[in-house]
Amino acid sequence: MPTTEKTHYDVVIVGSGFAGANMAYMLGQKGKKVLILEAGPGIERSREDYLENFYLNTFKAPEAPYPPDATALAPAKTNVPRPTIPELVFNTWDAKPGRWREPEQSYLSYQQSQLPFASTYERLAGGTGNHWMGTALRMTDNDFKTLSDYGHGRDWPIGYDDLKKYYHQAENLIGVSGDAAEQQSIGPDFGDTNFPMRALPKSKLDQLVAERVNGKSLAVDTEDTTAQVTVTPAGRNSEPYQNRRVCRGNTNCTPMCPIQAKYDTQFALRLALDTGNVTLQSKAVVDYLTVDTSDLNTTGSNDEKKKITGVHYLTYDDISAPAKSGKTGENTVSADTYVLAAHAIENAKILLYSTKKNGVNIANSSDQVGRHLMDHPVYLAWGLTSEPVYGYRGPLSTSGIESFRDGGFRKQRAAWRIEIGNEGWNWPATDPYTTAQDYIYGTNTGQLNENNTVLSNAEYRDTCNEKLTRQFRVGFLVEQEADPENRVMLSETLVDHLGIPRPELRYNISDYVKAGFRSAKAASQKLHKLMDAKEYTKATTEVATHWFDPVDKSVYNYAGAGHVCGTHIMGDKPENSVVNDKQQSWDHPNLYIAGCGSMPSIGTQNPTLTMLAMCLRTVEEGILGV
Amino acid sequence: MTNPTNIGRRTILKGGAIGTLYMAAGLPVLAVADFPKIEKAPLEFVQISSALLGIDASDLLRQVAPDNHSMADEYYSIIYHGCRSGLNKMIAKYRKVSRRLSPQQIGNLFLRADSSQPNAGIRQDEIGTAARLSMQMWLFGIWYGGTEMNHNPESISAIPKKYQNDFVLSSRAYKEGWIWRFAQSHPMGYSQLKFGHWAEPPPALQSYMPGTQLN
Repeated sequence: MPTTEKTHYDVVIVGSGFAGANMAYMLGQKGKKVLILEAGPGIERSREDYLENFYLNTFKAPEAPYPPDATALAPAKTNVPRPTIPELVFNTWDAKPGRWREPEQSYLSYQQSQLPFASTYERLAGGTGNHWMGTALRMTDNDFKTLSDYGHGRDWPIGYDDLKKYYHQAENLIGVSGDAAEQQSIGPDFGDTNFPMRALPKSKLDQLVAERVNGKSLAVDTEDTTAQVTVTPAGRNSEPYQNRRVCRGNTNCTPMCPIQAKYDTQFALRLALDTGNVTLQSKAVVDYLTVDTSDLNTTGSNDEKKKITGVHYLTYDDISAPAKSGKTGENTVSADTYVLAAHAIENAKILLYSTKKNGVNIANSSDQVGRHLMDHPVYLAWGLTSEPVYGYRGPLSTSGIESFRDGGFRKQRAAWRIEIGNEGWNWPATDPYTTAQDYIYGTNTGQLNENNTVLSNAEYRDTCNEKLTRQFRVGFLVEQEADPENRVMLSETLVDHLGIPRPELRYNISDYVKAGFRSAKAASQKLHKLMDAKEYTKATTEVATHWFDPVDKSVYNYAGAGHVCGTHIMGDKPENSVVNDKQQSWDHPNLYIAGCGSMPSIGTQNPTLTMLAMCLRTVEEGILGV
Repeated sequence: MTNPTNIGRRTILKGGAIGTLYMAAGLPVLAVADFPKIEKAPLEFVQISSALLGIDASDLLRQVAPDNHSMADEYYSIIYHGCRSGLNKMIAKYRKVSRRLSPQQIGNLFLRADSSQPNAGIRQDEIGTAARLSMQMWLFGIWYGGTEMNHNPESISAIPKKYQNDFVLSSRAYKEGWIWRFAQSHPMGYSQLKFGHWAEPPPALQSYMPGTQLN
């Protein structure tokens, strides 16, 4: 039987990831009584357990350490399923690429979509902040006004200056290592502030790219701009910080740093709990919000009438996939203020289901909930350098080329930033495994064994050494503009094991983004030439994440960046946005909808830092009302 | 010796990492219920592994701290159960040829369809299967029974059903994989290195295998 929780909280937060954990920490510090409802399992007894999962997992995707088993591909039989890389990359038994069109195996379903959404997320304590890579770049001024400046996407109701002090707070909260003077030279104004820690050293590869490419032009439409390799600000310790160790370069920021030198959200969650004012309830799956519909049109002020009255959630025990048991109970908890911070896609799902369950529109008078789903589709490029650069060492990425993130070209095509990878061909080709097996089986899957040779002994050892030490890759993070047709909806038929409707997506890549990819391809070719490197970038129709570009008559592959944005975007009018500049629902004054879902544009930088800055502002200027 | 735990949590997929573009179809189901009893590896198994990999037997036999674990015993125990007939034939063949062939020639003989032809394809009999499965355990800490069958369907008769898939042997086996040393690096997610090491060249390849004579 449904019961009603007796305890009253100041704030109930749905989700314990980057937004939820940090907002709880901030509120707890101010003496607010906070309940966090986390859909997945709670804080792990020991990090070693997750690490052991990672070591023993033959498919080391971002989800590898975390429950439920990402390879189970059984969303209808899993209590808290989530999208996974295996859904995208495992071929079907009849050799079709990916399982994304098979709803019995793919958590996200697609009815009319042409392309799969390529990013995934976590549902457990700490959320996707468990496997974030740590990149902590600020947005540029113009990223906040792409519509007015360039005629694409949406504008924010706030600008860089409104977030500036919160960026600084967020960098201190995370513990970002970086060089503010260098960052300022390529865009964002840091004023007289600096990062709390010095920058991480550049890798051997970074040094070679800088030597060969600095001061050179890369893109035909940015001839007046030249490349500059800069250290990427990152939530990785270059000094002991907040009782966490310095980075030892384990090349594993995603999916998890084995020594927690990278800040992750389980750390934030512990800080929140340590305030003594925050309670974490795990395995509590919020399915919908409630409103008091009985007197919706009779009593109270307009604001009173529209207030959220509770959060309904289901409980369960079994985190395995497929699960042996399902729902164990349900409950409704109430508070003065509610924060939805469950992830961009999950937030939209909860809001859409709330409307369905209540029979009245919840937070969606604008019809914008779920719309404007964005990511950074990534153009991966890879090659062999002419001299060893010794990859597979250091943090996954220590530097990037940010010089081309903004400019007049954004009227014609999407911008990109270049992330320089330190993990050889691990991302694009699953190396060292693929190449190492090519020389055992006489195959050429990784393209380095053109003659299909089978090698042994010293010939094998030295060939592997010679190839693996010269591998490098770059990733172009291409900005995707807000498009109302890229959207999260509620499936009419598909549910998870608890009976909660699953997200249905409609997703495509626009001509604007495709033009950005063509530009990235040309820049990659130039970069390889400048580096005296042989490029091995290869596009294939054998994976689901591809399109055929009629302009240059070639196939393009895209990867997901895990940067899921949009779905409840902020704006300056209730008619065309879901939340205001403080992430407060236009329709329900005691509801905040927080996270990357509120971002009206994604820019080219990894969005986590901006999202955290937004959430700190929401706490200070919104919930606490300072 | 280690008796690896948490076997039930092993997944069963092809070697991989983040978002691979090369994932193949046909992912079999994990069948190994328990890690088999540890068998003592005979010297010939280590010498054959040495010939395949180009690593001196003394490096392969180096015991792993803190409990003097023998990776040779761990790998031998798996192949003893996972491809016993092939293992026995491989050792018997080794005894016949070890005096007249160099380690490089032995490696080629065990892996190639024609030992003098590098691009004539793989040796498809049980000896070839045992050699490749041994080699890959040392390199990756993974039993590649499923992969072997995908490349060499004939091997199905050499591998018992519950070994006809891919799985990581143990977290220690992953951490001890030689492919990372060939790359002068460390297993992703495990190192004992110091802050900033990535800004400098790594130690020479020789230092990863001090007992091995490099050319």
